[in-house]
Amino acid sequence: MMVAIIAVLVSSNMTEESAYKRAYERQKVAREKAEQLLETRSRELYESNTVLSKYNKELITQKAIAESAVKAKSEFLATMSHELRTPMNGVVGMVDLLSVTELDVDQQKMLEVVNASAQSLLAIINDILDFSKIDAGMLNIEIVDMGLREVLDEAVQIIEANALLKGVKLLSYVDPGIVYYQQGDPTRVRQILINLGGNAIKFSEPGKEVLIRADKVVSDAGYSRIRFSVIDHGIGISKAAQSGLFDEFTQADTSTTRQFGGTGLGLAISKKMTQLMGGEIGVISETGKGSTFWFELPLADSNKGLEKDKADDLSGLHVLVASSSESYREVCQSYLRHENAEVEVTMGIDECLQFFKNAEDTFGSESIIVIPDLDDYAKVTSLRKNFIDAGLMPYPRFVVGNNRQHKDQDHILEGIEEVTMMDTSPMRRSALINAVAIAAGRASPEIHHDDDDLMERVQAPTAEEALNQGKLILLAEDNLTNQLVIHKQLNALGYQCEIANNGKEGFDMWKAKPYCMLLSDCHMPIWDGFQLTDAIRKDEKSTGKRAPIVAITANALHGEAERCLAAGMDDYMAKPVAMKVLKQTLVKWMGKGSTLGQTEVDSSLEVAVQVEAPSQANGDDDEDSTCPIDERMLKDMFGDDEDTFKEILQSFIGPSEAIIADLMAAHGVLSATEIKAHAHKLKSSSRSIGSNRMADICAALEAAGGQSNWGLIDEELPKLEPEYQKVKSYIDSL
Amino acid sequence: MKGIVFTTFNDMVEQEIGIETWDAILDSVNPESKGVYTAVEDFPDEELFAMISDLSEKTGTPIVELVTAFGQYLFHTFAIKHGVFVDDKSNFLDFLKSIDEVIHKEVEKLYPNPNLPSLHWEQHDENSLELYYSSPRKLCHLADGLIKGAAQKYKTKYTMEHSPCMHDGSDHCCFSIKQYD
Repeated sequence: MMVAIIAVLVSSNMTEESAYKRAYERQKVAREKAEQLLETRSRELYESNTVLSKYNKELITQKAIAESAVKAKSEFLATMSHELRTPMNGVVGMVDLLSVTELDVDQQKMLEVVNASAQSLLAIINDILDFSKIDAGMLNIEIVDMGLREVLDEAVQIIEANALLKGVKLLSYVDPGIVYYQQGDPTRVRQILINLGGNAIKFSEPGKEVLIRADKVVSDAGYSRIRFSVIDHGIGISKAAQSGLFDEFTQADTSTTRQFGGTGLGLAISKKMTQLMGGEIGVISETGKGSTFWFELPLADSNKGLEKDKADDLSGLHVLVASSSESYREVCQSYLRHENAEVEVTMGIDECLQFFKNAEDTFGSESIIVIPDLDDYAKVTSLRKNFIDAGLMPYPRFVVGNNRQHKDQDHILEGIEEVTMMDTSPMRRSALINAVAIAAGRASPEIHHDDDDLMERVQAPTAEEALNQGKLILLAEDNLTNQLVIHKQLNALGYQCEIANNGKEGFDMWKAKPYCMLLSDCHMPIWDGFQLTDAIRKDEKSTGKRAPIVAITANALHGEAERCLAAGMDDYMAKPVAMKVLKQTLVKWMGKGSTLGQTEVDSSLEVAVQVEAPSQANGDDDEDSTCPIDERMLKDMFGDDEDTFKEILQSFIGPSEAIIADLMAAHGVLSATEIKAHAHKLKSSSRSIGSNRMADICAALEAAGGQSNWGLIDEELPKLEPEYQKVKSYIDSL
Repeated sequence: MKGIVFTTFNDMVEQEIGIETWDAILDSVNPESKGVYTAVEDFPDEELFAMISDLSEKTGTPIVELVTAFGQYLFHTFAIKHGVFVDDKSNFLDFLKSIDEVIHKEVEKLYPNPNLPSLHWEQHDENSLELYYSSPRKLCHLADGLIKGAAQKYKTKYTMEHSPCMHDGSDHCCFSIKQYD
């Protein structure tokens, strides 16, 4: 029995042991399977990683390609901006100058066409550049303190000329409840306003009004939502056309492109800019009744308050606004009420007498009638007579809108004591308040001066005189045409300058004489404008003085302006520099130009007539003409001053000899590239002094150099020196 | 060192000698890993070396012989688990030449930093091959065994000279292999 039990136990022990063994084997197999599975997964993972990293590499390569394309695009834009604006500088600048010379009626008309064409070309260039900039994500929005009054005034000032030309009345209105500066981008807001305002004028009939207004619609905890509206009473836009209006290259009706011109980019640019500023844009319009284009921007309030003129307070005054226009009534009423005047309105001048008769008790004393948009000044004199007859004089007094379209009527109201004229082209708040204050005897008429007549010709001092007055300007500019344009513009404005051809030369000149300010191109050989500025600023550290430095840049891209300021410059002007901008900038940094001989007729204009070149009579249209210089062309460009004329020609000699020597040297070492480069330089300066034959030879050389066409180079190069000698002896004979 | 070397060593001891000996080795060596090996982990070289020398003591077989025998065993395990590499090559020498370029590359895909030995070859005629081995582990005898295993697999007869050897102070070992029918 016992043995049997042991046997069973042993056998069960044996069974247990073999069971463990089998279990062990199973575990081992399971482990191995798991290991294999893991290896398979690892291999799959490796393979998908390989694929991913291959794609990743491809993506990195593609990204680099895309980035370099974007970079190339922005560089292209910068170059285009420069390249397009530089020649426009020449065109616009010369047209400006030409317009103040003596021209007959036909010439004036032709010049107006040239000017209008140049301006519209410039506008198109700007549109395209802006659009490309936005497209490339290169348009930056800056956040600075922005006064809405200034922004609207500036916008209105720019489109005013068009409004005047077209006979459209232009009004601007800024909600007087806006008492702080806003933080935003004044340049872009102004640009949109100019865009919308320009359109409004374009689509308005003569005699209609265009109102540009800014209203605060919401104000909350340091933020305001400002709604800008441009309201016209023009042709209007159908509902169907409104939908795609803000898309690029779209106009309400394709036929409008031909009738009204434009790239069709303006609204698309405005929309994109509005969006970049976090706002919205839209239009409310009805065919035949006009359009209201609006955009709303959320703008932070600056802690800077608007300056408040003490004379602005009109409390105690009774003002009657007489106008048939709702816009004028509303704008005047709102501005005047905000300055605490008691304001009533009538539908026109004809209702004024009746109004005063009815309201004699409350409206009799110290009352002023504002007539902002009067077409016929004679109505004022007859109204005044009626008032006298009715025994209402010496009050009321009249504030009459002095629209420049009615300048011929000015004499009607001259010398009438009770009448104060108010500039209403365009209608501005300051002009209204000021005129009412003057009429009420609360402000002096002398305080407002018309500074707009910028084109008044004044005699420029000589360099020596300017230096003695501390008003000699240094101009650093490498491009001959630009040198001449700006020099002439400065002279025309009563300033004098000396010219450095590059930054290094500029610095040497700056050290040698006490110039009062520097106008500097940004891109010049040897030292550019930034290096020049840097050198001057460093040098000034020892003297403690700081002279104004203003950049003249053809590169209109946003970064350039910032770069100028960052480099230590004080201001910048974009080429082409309009006379107006140049004058404003100069007045800002160095005060008014010379007043010497301000009353004299510009003597250079007379000289211009005398500078009929001796060979003119020989007929320079003749191809065989021996005269190496196209004098008529030269005179067209620079010919209103004999000294300048000679100076320009003489300044051609030295550099040209150097370039010819360079060309010969390049030919000696068989460098086609250098021949091309030197020929290019000489070509443009030859062309600008009217030496067309030299320019043609250079053009041929430039082309031949570009193609390494030595046969042509050998043919053309020998012609250059003899032609140059002809030019030189002509210049020497002057 | 890769875990597969440890699990194969375990298998070899269990199969050729017995599970008790494997247990006894673990008891006397007492490795940090407690003898829990998987093919997909890494384990310290020292554990393997300690176990081999313990086995040598227990069986009275010289270490070199043991290591070579293990190499041979290891090859067969590889051939079973990763037969594709053997099947891909039609002869012994071609297989040897593919170790560094094919097999080691695949190992590197699966295991980052696998610390593989460097293995280069030169071939002067179709029946001979010189294999240059170098590794800080100096496991040239394991390589010797692996080569033996491969020759068996391909049913190839060969002679081999092993000179110089890292164990004699050289910075590498050279196996000069000659195969014959």
